[in-house]
Parts: sequence; C-alpha cells; structure tokens
Amino acid sequence: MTYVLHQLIMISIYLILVYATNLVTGLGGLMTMAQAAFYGMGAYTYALVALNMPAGFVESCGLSMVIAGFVAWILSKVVLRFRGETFVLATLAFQMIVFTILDNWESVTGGSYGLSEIPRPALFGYEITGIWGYLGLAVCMAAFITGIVWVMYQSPFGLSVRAVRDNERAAESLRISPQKQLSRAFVISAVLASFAGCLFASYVTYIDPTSFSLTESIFILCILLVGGSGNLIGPFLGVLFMILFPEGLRFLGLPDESAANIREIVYGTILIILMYYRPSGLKGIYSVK
Amino acid sequence: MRKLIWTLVILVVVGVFGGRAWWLYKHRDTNVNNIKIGAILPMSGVYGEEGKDVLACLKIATEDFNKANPQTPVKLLLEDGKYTSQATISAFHKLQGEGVKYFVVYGDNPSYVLAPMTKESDVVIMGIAAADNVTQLSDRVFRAWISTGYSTQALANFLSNDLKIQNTAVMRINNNYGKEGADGFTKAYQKNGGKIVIQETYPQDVRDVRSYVAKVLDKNPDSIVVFGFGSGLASVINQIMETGYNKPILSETAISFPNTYEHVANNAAGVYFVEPIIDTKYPGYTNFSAKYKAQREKPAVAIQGFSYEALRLLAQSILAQKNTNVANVSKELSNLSNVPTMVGTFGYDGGREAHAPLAIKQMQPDGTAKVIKE
Repeated sequence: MTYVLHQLIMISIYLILVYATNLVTGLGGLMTMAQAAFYGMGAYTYALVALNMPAGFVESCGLSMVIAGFVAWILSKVVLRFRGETFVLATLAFQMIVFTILDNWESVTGGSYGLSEIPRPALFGYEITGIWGYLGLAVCMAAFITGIVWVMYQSPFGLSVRAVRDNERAAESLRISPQKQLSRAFVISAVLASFAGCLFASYVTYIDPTSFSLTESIFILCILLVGGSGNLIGPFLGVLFMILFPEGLRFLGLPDESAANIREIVYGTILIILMYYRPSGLKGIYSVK
Repeated sequence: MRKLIWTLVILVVVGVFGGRAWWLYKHRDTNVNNIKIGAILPMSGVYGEEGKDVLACLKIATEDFNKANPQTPVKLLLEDGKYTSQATISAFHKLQGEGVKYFVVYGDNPSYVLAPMTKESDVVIMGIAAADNVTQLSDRVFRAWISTGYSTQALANFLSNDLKIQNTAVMRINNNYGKEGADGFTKAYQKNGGKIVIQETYPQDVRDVRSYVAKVLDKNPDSIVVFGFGSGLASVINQIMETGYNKPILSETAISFPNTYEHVANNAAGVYFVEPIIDTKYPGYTNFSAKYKAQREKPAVAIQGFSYEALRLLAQSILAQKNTNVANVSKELSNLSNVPTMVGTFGYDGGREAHAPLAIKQMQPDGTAKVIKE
C-alpha cells in the first residue's frame, strides 16, 4: 500500500512541476531547461531554513518561493531577450550554473553529500509524519495549484500569454507587452516549481544535487511533451504516464540481470512511438516544432 | 477509427499490466518460514555494472544459505534503485509492500535516502556504503563495507610513517565518495604532520583530466593520492603516468576493481592502495570465487566478499532470532564480534560499524596486488 501512496505523492509533486513548466513552454511557447534549477532552489532553501531556523512549513515554503521568484525575475531580464534555440541554451546555462553551485558550495548546501534529516512539515501545530498525512498534504496542494493554474489559463493574463505565443507582433499591436507577459509567466512558473521542491524535500528528508540536474529538467519537459501542452489535461496525462509506466515495468518479471536494461529499452521505444504518432502529446494543443 | 485503435491499445496495455499485477498477487509468497531480504541495487545507469556484481554475490550467498538451511530459505527480492532518490524510495516501498523488512543497499546516496525511513518503517538496512556518517542517521543502518574514515586513516599512516613522505597532493572525484575520502585522508595525514600541497577536484563524467593533472604537478608534490573509481580513476592514473611522474601514487581499493583495472592496466603498476583483506584460506572462499568468476567472468575482490558476507550474516541473524522481531535481529547483528568470514575476522562489536582487517597493497605489472603491510 505504501508503494501506491508513494506513487500518488510523486504524481502530485510532478503535477505541480509540470503545470509550472506548461505556463512557459505550453502557453508561452518557450522551451525552458531551467525548471529543475528552480525545483532545486526551492528544495534547498526549504531544507536550509527548516534545518537552521525556527521556521515552520509555511514560512519555509514562503521564503523559498520568494527567493525563486526573485531569481526568476532577474533571469527573465536576460533570457527573455531570446527566442527559440537561444532561449533554450540560455536556460540550460542557468540550469548548469545552479547545479554547479549546489554541488560545490559545500559549506552551505553540503555539496555532493547533500542535506539530510530535513524535518517533516508541521501545519497548525500538527506534524505530518505518516505517509497518509503526507499524501493528504501533497494531493491538497496539487489540487489547489491545479485550480490556480486553471483560473490563470482562462484569465486575461493566460490569454495574452497565448497570444504572444501565437503571434508576438500581432499581440504587440493589441498593446500586449510580450516581454512583460512572458516575464510574469516565467516568474510564476519558477515560484510554483520551487514550491514543488519544498514538498519534495519535506517528503524524502534527504536531498542532493543529483535530484535537480539537467536530466531532471529534460524529464520534466518530456512529461509535458508526452502528455501534451497548452491545456490542463495534457500535463496530467503526461505525469500519469511518465511516473506510472516505468513503475509498471517493474512488474514484468524479467530476469534480474537484464531487467533494468530491457525496461529502459521498452520505455524509450514507447516514447519514440508515442511522439511519432502523437506529436502534440496524448492530449495537447500544441505540436512539438 | 483512429480513436478506436488508440482505445484498444490502451485497453490492451492496461489489461496486460493489470493481469500481471493480479497474477503476482495470486501467486504472492505466503510462506511465513521464508526469510525475505530485499536488495536495492543500481542495475542500470553509471553504476549498473557494480550493481550486477553485487547481485551475483548476493545470489551466491542466498544459494549457499538455502543449501545449509532448507527449512528456512532466504528469498532474495531485487529492485533497481538506479542510484537516484526517487527510484530508491520507490523500490523500497515496493519491497516493503511485499513484506520485506531486511534490506541490502548498495551505495552512499541510496543509504542516505533510506536511513530516515528505517526509523518510521521498522526495517534493517545493510548498507554497502563507505560514507562515514551513514550509520549515524539511524540505529537500524549497518555498514557492510569499510568506512572511508577507517581506510583513509590506514592510507595516511602508511604514507607518512612507512613511506616517510611529508607532502602530497590530493585529487578527488567530485562526489560525496571523493569528498569523504579526501577529507578523511587530509585530517589523518595532517595529524601525522603531513602537508597537503594542493587538493584538486575532477568532475565525475569527464575523462580528459590533463588540465587538472597539470595543475597538481605544478606544485611538485612528493606523492599523489587519488580518490575515485571506475574509468574516471583509470583516466587520472593514466594521465598522471603519461607525464612521466615517477613518485608514489596512492589510492583506495577501487583501483583493484576489474572495471577500473581494465582501463588502467600496466599504468597501475606501482600504485599503492588500501583494501580490506580477502582470506583465500577461508573454507567457503574457493567455492564463492569460482561461482562468481563463472557468472561475472572476472575475479572477486574485497567488495564482493563483503557483499556475500552482508547477506550471509544478515540471514544468520534473522534465523537466530527466528525471523520474528526486527529489533531483536538488529541487536543480534550488532552483537556480532570476531566472526570468521572471507574478509577476515568481522564484527560490529556492539555498534553498527564493520570492523575488518585492512592491508596496504601495491599493484604489480601482471595485474595482481602484492600485500605490503597488514
């Protein structure tokens, strides 16, 4: 049972991450490679605050989100001058910088040792220690953020970001500032990703830089591409597929020595087939260009 | 029509997985006499080969134990931890769901990730991990290897007291294994009056380390100590040797691992390293060594001996406590002392740190290792 509950918790955390990425990549049309960096910033800030200060869950998360938002705002001044491949490269560079800092700033982040014994969250005086309690927290937060994201997509802000994606010049002619709207989307995306990091850190109670590397950014993007971007249902299906399918492969009963390698081959093959026949993902609006 | 095809595909896939899960549930092991031991090993990725090496040892140990104890056999359940936090936790929960309370885990990071869970979940972990403070995170984590602090102390003593070298350079791989090794060695060596003239960190996945080597040689050290493993360690040794450096080079046990040695070959000749002993005269050694070589097509080294003994000692402790109570099994393990094993006289001596003999060895041109000091 704990296995199923663990999967549900990870689905909730990744749902938040992917909805955050969808704001920039789906609605905004800009493929960002920096999501894991903000995810990691949120996790580490939460862990450092929770370990070193008498701050509760809400304060730790709040501070993480503020810091991530501020960094994203500064970064957006630079990266949003670019579009297409150059934007990808710029966000990739930021991802590498953040990973290098997390891996080498040993006195603060613990370097490759990471940070351990991160306290469990406590809400309204109640410490959430059991997996059921944590599932409740993760699912509630995921549902809440899904609601916020849904409202955002329908709002004038969401429509203007879509307009910028579809035709920047036309949007400008309607007095929509592409820079401003994309910057807002970028910052909100970073804030949500950092919150997902806080949830992750408080759940696993040990974090190290390898959980927030470029590989993780690519994985988050893959979820979005497989599920589909631009709406709510696509990312949700993507998360379900990318989290549950590899776990489902554990049950195939393959020979021990080769099981892991066969699973990777099957997984990769399925992804390729999926992208060939469904370039806009399982239920997305926009195709991969 | 396309929608119909996709719907059918999805139904078939769900049916296959659902059917398989149902079949597994119906055929689940309900024999209470079985001793279930879970193995969370990296079976894919960068550490995949090491995971397979450890798996071979665990399977041989399981086979030997079951032959000697047919009434209470060990059932070894394997999951791929991929050496990542998410996959390790997922593997742990899956095995826990199958009733596993005793685990053998390979690697520092997976041991760190699972240590807090031992408190909440009432399980015991035998960690094949070198990181010093892994056993401090929980009183249910036992080390089934030699801690970095213990082995680097031996290396530092040999360099300063036996080779009488008072200045050295340190090169280390940029991960927690490298950091702990370098920190432990530096502390011990400086305590002996030695001086570290430079410490250089090389990235995990880079194979051309000539610029790092050049920086180190620029300081003209009287010796170089290298912490790393696999082809990365081999690259460092090869590229130091390329420069014609002819002063002592020291490393840890990883230099003798086949997946390092095959990349470094003759260049490793003369390298000193610290390694736990394998007692070739131990009764079970010949049988184990032959079986391992047949499966993995390479000779067993100390870490394979430890992997074998980890499962054997864990299974024996579980059997001694009649597989009833995790706390009692934990106490039984902790009380192990002066137990003859193929890695020498082994024990936890009331704690959770493995105590086993170490040796300083030197790689020979033919690929064997000569014991210099025990």
